[in-house]
Amino acid sequence: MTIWIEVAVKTLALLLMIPLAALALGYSELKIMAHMQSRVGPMEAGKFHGWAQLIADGLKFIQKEDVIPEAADRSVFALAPVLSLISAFLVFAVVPFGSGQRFWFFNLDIGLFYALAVSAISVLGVLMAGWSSANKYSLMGGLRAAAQLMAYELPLVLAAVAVVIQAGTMSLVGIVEAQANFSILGIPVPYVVPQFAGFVIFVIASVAELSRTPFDMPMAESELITGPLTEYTGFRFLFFFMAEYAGMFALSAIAATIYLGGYWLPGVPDNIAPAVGPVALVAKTGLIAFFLIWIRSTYPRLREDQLQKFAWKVLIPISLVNILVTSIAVVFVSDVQG
Amino acid sequence: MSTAGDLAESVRAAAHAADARVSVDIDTGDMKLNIGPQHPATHGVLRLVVELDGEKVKSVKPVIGYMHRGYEKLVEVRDYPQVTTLINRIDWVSGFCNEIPFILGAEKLLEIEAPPRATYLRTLLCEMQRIASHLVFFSAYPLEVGAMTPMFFAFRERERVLDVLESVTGGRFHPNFNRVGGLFKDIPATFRSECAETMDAVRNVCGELDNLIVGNEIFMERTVGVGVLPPEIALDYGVSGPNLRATGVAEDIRKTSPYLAYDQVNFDIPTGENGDCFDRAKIRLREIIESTYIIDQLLDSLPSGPVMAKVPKVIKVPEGEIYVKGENPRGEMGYYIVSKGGGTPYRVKIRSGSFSNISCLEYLLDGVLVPDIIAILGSLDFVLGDVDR
Amino acid sequence: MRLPPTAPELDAGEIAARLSDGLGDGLVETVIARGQVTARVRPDAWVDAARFVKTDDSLRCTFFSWLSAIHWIEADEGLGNSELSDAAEEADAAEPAEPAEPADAAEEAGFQPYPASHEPGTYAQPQGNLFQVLAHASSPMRGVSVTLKTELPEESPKIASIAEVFAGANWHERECHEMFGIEFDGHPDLSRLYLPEDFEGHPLLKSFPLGAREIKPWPGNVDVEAIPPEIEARLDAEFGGGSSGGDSE
Repeated sequence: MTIWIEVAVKTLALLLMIPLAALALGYSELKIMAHMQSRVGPMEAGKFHGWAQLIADGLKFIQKEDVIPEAADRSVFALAPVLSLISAFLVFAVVPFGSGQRFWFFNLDIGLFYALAVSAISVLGVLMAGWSSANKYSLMGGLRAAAQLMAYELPLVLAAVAVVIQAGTMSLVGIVEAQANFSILGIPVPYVVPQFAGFVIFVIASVAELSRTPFDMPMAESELITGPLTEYTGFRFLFFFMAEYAGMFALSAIAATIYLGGYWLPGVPDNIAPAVGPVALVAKTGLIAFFLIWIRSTYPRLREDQLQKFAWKVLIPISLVNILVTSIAVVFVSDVQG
Repeated sequence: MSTAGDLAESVRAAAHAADARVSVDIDTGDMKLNIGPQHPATHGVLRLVVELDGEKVKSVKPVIGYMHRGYEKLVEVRDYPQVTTLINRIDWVSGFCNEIPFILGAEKLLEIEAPPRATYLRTLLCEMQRIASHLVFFSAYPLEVGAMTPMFFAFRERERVLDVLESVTGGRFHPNFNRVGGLFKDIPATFRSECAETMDAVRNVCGELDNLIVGNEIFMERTVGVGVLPPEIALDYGVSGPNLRATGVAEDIRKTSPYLAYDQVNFDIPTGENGDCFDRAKIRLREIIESTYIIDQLLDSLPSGPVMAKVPKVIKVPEGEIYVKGENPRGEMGYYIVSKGGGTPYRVKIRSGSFSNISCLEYLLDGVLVPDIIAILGSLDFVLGDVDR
Repeated sequence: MRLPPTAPELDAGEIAARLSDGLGDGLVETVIARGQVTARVRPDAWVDAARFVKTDDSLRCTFFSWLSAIHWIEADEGLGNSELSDAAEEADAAEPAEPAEPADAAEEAGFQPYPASHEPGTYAQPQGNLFQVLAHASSPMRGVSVTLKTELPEESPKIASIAEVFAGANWHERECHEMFGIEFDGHPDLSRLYLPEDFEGHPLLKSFPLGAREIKPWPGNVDVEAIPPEIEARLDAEFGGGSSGGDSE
């Protein structure tokens, strides 16, 4: 009986987390970018610094007419936003928010592998949207998104492989625990220190996977008019919007978990660790998300061929070297210790 | 359900399908894409009919005229003071500069000379308009290549410049401040200090823009070597202004055939080397800085006296023809005024910078990638009102 | 670095001399008015003149500025503004001796845009109904510029295209074609530039009515209030209240 209550509560929490994460990140992006751009951002909705702006936006989207172009492939057109959202949803399922079974939905042995695999589904949604819209701009955007996914999924996975080699497990909980036991010269440090190159590659590849500036060629509002999303309105657009921010949160959370130690903080006594865990993870996730927002407000976007070149000629070779160095180091260290 | 026969059948079918797939000749036709007339990167209503092979442009045909307002016809039925109101709206980003060549042409035909103070103020306001216009470039162009932030920085300072312009002329976009024989009125008392402060702020933001845009790795990646315009082609098409100077030709009407008080001030003509999108952007940034120095010099040496010459109430221009050109932020802006001796011009040919600047698009866009179309269009800094007139 | 401007390399007289050297028979006259050089050439020498201006070693006018036309008509009618410009009436009154060019004369003795009494080298406006095509080119960085001019008859105006010489002339000729109905021989594509495909007529012809003015004639004093007396007095005080039209020498 209790197992069912637990499953119900966790599922509900998971369902709530998607819109909450999207709202929180969306709002922070509005405000952070506004302040970086010498303006104040939303100030009216909800009185206090426009906190309710995105809720108002969401309500507006829901009220809008649901327009599907006449030439569109209706079923694919309708399925695409759902698929995008589901992908973000599935990633959340394996993120551990604290130590102990209460804080994760799901501790898979192949957690990291699973997370990276399902996060790639979102691009399928974008490709479907681009294809089914019967719009040339959307089609071009969808194809660009697909090409971009192929190029950047590889460095993303290769960077994570080095972490897996170092931790000796693919379970996200296992990786956090491995980081808790890891130290250099007696100082406990998360994997970002030994795996710095991997961390940078992982974050860059996540930006590309999320199609955010400077890798937002598939969306490129000034040339493709937001590409695959051109024909979407109302709640379908809202789905994409939520998927974008939830996806950003999910990938940031994965990066925080495998590189920044996730819910683990050094020196926290065991009795309060369960309470600190989720806060620590959200804070670390927020740090990475802030960095993504910062990049967005600083850089122009790369051209499609340039970002391909960057992935194949720079990121992938570096991540391969990173795997090599990590493997040698792991064998060497275990030899010394063993 | 399944029997051995069924299985063999389906294996055969699969093999056949595999054969068929190999032999299918995939049809790779070209895609015809209409960019515009409603498209965020075409600055209004320019339309490009593009033939694409994948992302590569095979041919491009610019279609203009969606904003043709027939100014050349309209000015024929307006008297000289009224024409100023119209020509303000040709290139609405630099309204004040539009007025200058026409008013100078009318004055030359009438053989009236504006008082020195008016001439200096005209020069000053022209430069101020140039700064405002180039700042618009630095908000639109980064946005087109995907950077959002510079827009806010550039617009913030442009707002200050427009405030100063407004404090003098009463208009932000369409000053309509020039009269045949001088200016409508003198500058307000607070003008000097406000102007000097604004120029400092503008120089400041130029530093920021230099860091954010011109010195940005990704921006350079997107623009260096993209849309290269050789000088002879540029001259042949009549490309003028910063777009011409980016090719290395140091042609600036303010210098080569000085008008207003430009022969009284010292300034530099920034030129580029490669004539690519990056040079076009870089030059505009340096021009803003030059303009702030021109304004400083003019403020220091501003003569006193009236701002309006003695002019008859009803202006009738004697018979004659004259071509007067000025260096607008978008290139050579000129008016060929033909007077038959009446209160209205008989014919006015309006030569606008943007029109000639985008006539070389067919050359520039040949064989580029789709993202480069946008980068090249933006770097030419055209205003559709200036193209279509 | 910040240097004062330099004087033009050639003055108007030198440009004119160079033009008459290089253009030979094609040149009808060179007019220097208000410091600007205008070369009137024969229509058949139009392309050669453009090429000479562009390629000549001392002129080097490689920068193509613009090309356009003027529709000259004898009477200032169909404009909608004739009420205002009594000067136009004066002009008509001043030249009653010059009626429209007789058509047969134009056919026989060739096309005569200027009366025989016209003195070459002085500015004058052509007589009769005709088109004048103008092109302007200048030399970058040297302050040298030349306007070329030629006359075409009003019926079936036709001239060779200079789009081969100056690539920029392409669009200007398309504009000129739709606005005036002038044919440019040898132009690669004389399709519409500004106007919709189904537009009828040529807007910049003087005979083309301007719709707004047809509905409401505009002499200015119909829909504009009179200046209030106190403001008029102030204007008089400020600007000396010159009598209307008193300035035209």
